[in-house]
Amino acid sequence: MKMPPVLPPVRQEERSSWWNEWVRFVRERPGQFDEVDNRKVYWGEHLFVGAESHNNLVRIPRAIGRQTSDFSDVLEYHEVTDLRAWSRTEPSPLLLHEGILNEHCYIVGPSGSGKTSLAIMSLLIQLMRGGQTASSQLHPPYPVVILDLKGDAALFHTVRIEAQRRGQQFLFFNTERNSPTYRFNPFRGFDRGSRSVAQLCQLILDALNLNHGKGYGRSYYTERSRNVLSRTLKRNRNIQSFDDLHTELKNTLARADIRTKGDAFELLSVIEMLTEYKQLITDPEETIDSTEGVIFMPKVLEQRQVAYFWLPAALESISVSEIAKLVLFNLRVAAQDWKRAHPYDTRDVILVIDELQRVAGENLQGILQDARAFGIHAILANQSLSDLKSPTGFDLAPSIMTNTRVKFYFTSPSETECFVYVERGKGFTEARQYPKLGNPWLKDLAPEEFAYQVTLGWPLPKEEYIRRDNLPLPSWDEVAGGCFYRDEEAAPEPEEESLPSEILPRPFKLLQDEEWEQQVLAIQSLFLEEEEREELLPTVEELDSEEVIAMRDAIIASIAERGQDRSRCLITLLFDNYLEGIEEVPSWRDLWRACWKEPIDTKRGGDVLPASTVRQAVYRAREMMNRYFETDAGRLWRVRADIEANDYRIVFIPNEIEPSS
Amino acid sequence: MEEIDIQVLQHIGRYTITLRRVLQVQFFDGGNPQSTLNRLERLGYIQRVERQLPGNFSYYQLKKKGASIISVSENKAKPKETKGLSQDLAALWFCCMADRPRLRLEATELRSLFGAPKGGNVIHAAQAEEDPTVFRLFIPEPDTSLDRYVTTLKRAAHQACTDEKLLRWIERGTYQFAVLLTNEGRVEKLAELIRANDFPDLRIHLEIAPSPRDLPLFITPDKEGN
Repeated sequence: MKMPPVLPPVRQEERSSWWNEWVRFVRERPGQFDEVDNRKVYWGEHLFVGAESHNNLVRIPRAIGRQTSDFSDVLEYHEVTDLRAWSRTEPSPLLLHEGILNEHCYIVGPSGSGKTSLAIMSLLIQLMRGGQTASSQLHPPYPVVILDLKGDAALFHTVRIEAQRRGQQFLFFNTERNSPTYRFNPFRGFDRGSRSVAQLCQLILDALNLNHGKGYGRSYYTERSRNVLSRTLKRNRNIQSFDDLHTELKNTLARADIRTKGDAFELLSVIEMLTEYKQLITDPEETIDSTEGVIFMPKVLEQRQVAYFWLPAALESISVSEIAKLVLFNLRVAAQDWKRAHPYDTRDVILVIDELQRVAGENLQGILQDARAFGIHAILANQSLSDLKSPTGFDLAPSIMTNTRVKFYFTSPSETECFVYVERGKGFTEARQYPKLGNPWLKDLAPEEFAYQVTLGWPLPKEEYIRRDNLPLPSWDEVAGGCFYRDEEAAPEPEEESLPSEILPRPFKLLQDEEWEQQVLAIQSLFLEEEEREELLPTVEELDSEEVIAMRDAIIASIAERGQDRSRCLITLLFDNYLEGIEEVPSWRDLWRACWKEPIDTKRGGDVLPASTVRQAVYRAREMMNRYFETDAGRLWRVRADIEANDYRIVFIPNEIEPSS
Repeated sequence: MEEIDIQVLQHIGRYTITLRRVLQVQFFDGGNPQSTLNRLERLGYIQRVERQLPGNFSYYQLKKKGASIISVSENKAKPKETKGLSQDLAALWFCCMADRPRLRLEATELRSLFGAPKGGNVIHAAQAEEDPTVFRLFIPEPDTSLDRYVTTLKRAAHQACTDEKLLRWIERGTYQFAVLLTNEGRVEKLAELIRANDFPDLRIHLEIAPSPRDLPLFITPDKEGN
């Protein structure tokens, strides 16, 4: 095979064919190897990046004059090679050994600089197509997980096409309501069966960024959330989704005190938000083996599937960020479990996160640190390192710089150039010498001072790129198992949708039954004149004296024996007055005489005390009557007796409205 | 005494205070209620309370004689404390100056609906038209921190939902909370806080009503007079 020209064509439209020629030249040459450190290194183990040239530190000769003897003016010139200078190397292809990606790759550059089209696509296409090494046999395809928080249609369709090309199953997840999507149940992904409640709590808190770390106040809220979560998970071992968890959490909190409810609000609200996504729920009967329309991370690894999470964050940045974190934690758990179960069968998986800042948080740091150990090779991209600092003050940037071995800086003014820094070499890839000690990022050096300056090529011709960018997302026909929304669509909930959103605290369905009609009637009657009201509501005339006596006896029977309590006497007296039709309202003196049977001292305000005693006793009697009408037996009465507020006499008012049932 | 005198006395008895502007709207079709007020004042049934409201405003309240003639508690003739005045003023505005008829409920009326009301000084109002509802009124002071007030409101909402009798009304939307605030900004802020907090399914209505301090913003002084 003839070696393609090192320098890319001047005409931009020829760059993609140049790139493709090089990829074929590097990756489709079985048995082609060179020896590096007495070890065979195959060309096919490398990814083609572009044509590079870089600054080289060289020593150049100079002449130094020396006196020939102590008392002579004659100088003798000697050549010394100690002058340090930068020289520019001749352009050559930059080949990146795949093993370098074990320690992750970071791509940074402003919007529109070509991070996705020139770098992510270029690396991903080559990784997915595979390379020929010792023989023409391609190595098995990598499982691939892509978190696209931008929503790049060209990348989506490119990955889809490449997956089909290698015979990999392409699964995609979309958060848009009623749009075609595979389902993804992150709760099931945590594999509850093989984890303790404590482990599961930790996983959920970490994944949802509810682990606030240590420190005053922070650990308190973490522990409160952990406590509520742990109690919920212990109480119900059949929780299968975040939807189930939300229901059970509400049950737990219904029995909790107000403080606990307040402290667990964050946990509840984050989980409640996840329940809005029907695509995050699976049936309990659906297992890893029985379901085709579901993304299970263990299955992605086992069957080398390609899972594309289409999570454009523009409209729902908070919720998609939570979902993205759940994907990451599911992947880590699945990779960890795979490694434990198959210690001699490593399963390397490619993870791509475009718009990394959307998921940046303390929880991602742990994943980055562990990823290599579990075979996850991450390609991370975002616009600026400063975006990785969260509002809480946590900065992911140092962790990214430490844990990534190759970095692409799209800071060149040229449209197709970028700077590539390789920290440690492998295969044909040489590490770039860094001119000073320490980390280049920390020393704040410009990438052009130490990195490869690479001219890149587009993997796709421009027209093809535009075509893919305008293709719609797949239809339900491409989702195994078809549309799972079908049942819901058949039974929509129009009432809920028609409720205006300004209703506080939230729209909810109100009951409108016979009881509601009675309640409305009762309210409207308050606005009527007395005569009109009597027509509308049940009247006490319908009560005969036997009913009144029965009511009186029931009230008195409900009053507990309490020594000096005069309530029974007062109630009996007032009922008797009613039954006998006595219209004259008794005074407090009448009540005192009837129930206390003691003389009243009328001198010097001596009657103040008995008057007050009577008033209090009537108040207590009234309370007891009210208490009776709140009992089950009391509620059965159509009307209820009451002692009038300002007069000592019995009045009847409609009893509370009973349920129609 | 004329029929209108009794109506005005009953109105003041129900709301505990009234304003000239309210009477204009409620009983006089925008006309001047001053002669009726003067007559009732002269008869010793009502009193005009000055210097309790800012600017040139005064309010009217029953005297003991007036309370007894319409058979209401003499408590209604007692001088108002600052907080009581604030609550009564907002409730008066909510019921009488809104775009639909409402009624501040007496304890007996409330009892006829739900039984004995819990909590002594809780004001309820009923609305008959459109969605017939009983509102429990919440009237925070204009300086009250809404961040803290929302906790009180939430606690009250949860408590209301634990009352089986009330719950039957809450589930049907015929019992709601109404929070009366002094301006749109506070309404928006409280709405946000309510949405962000874990409230039970109990409808909460937010409306603007004056506090004594803000009354001049709601009524032009020249029309209110003296």
